[in-house]
Amino acid sequence: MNSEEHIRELLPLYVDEVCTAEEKIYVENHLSACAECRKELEELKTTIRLVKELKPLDASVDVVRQVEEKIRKSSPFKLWGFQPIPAALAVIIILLLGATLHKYSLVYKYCQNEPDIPTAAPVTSPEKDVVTIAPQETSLQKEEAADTVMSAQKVTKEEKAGRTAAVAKKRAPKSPAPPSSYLVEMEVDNTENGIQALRNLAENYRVKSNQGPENDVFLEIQGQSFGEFMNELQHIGKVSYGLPSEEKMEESTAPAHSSASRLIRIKFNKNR
Amino acid sequence: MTEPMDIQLVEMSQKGDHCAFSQLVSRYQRKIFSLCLRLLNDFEEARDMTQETFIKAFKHIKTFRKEAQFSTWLYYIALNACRNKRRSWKGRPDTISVDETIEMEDNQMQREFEDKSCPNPMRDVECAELQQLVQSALNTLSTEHKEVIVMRDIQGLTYEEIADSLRCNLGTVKSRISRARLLLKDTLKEVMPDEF
Repeated sequence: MNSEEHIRELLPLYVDEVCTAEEKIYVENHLSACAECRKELEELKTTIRLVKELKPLDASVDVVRQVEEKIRKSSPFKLWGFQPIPAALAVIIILLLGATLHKYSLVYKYCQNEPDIPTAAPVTSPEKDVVTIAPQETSLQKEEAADTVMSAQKVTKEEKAGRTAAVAKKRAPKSPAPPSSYLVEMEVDNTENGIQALRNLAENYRVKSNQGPENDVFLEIQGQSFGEFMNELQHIGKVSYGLPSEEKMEESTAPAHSSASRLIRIKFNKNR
Repeated sequence: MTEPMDIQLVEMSQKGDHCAFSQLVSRYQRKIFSLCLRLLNDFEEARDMTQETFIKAFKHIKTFRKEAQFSTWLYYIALNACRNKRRSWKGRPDTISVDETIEMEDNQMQREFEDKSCPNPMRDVECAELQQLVQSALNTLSTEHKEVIVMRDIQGLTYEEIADSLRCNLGTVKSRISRARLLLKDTLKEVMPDEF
């Protein structure tokens, strides 16, 4: 940029006195020696004056009432920057979050109320893809103890993966529901007599019984008489309370049972 | 009783006080309308853009930071509104409608502007012609040059206020004003040589 061009660019700013001190001295020195630039400066001043004369041109507009009306008519949400789509997404997220929290609060509440499940660690049975919760005590002197010893839970393979203890507890029924089957081994001198005695006992207790094909009897016992009935078994023969049955009961021999009853398979063996 | 300062009215508006905001509208509507009218050359559009400016300002009042001036913030909104409006016109010729005949409800009337520069009625016509020529010359400038001339020479904003309104630095403002004035001078010399 040559000095003429530079001066020409500075002149409009010189009029407004917004040049730096150095620029001002530079312009003034130049103007004192250059008539053409002095004329240019006067023309610029005239231009500014002509434009400024437009200034009083002012319309008597009043938009206060219109603005007030629009503010009043518009939804307060819209006026304060309400965005419908993000708001809808936010509502969905809040609802989902609320539903999730509610779900887990129910699990927590359930776990708080649920009776203790046997404290043994879950053991995986690879052959049958089941998780069995094995009892720690074997004493059946008390009904409660018997319940604990005999209780078991079977959980499918799909369910065991990644399952937390809380979720496992949630899946358990609220009242201590009986496991599907128990195995009791009984040693008697005579198998037939033993089976007959058992069936008589079952009849006395009004317990449904079905004889199986392998010196075994399937019983369905209601919860409240379970402990007493099990004690009576000791009068028939030597009772061995093993782990819950791993043998699947056949539909044909196992009596249909309700969720409130216990299904027991009693297998008879001869005394050695 | 002294009038509340802008910042006080802004704070009240931020708390949802409509009356406080109305005071701000009342205080700045003429300046904003004047800016819009000069940039758009259309009375109705300028009035709409003025309304739009204040509606937007109210809508976003909570985002206003107090370190800036409320007036320059309004100018920023108004300038953007006018740019968007001009873009939407797409080749519509600039019209000078400052004294056009307008339709009223049951009759026609000449749009009236308060013109303090011509106190002598004998000079009204001459003044109107002069203003038409200056406005025409102004309309030949690009939007960015026109904006700075209107803000500086018509509205009387400082260079710093213009920089805040345009959200650019002071050097850019100086450069634009310098260039705009030189271009405008050349145009005016052509259309009204008697004045020079």
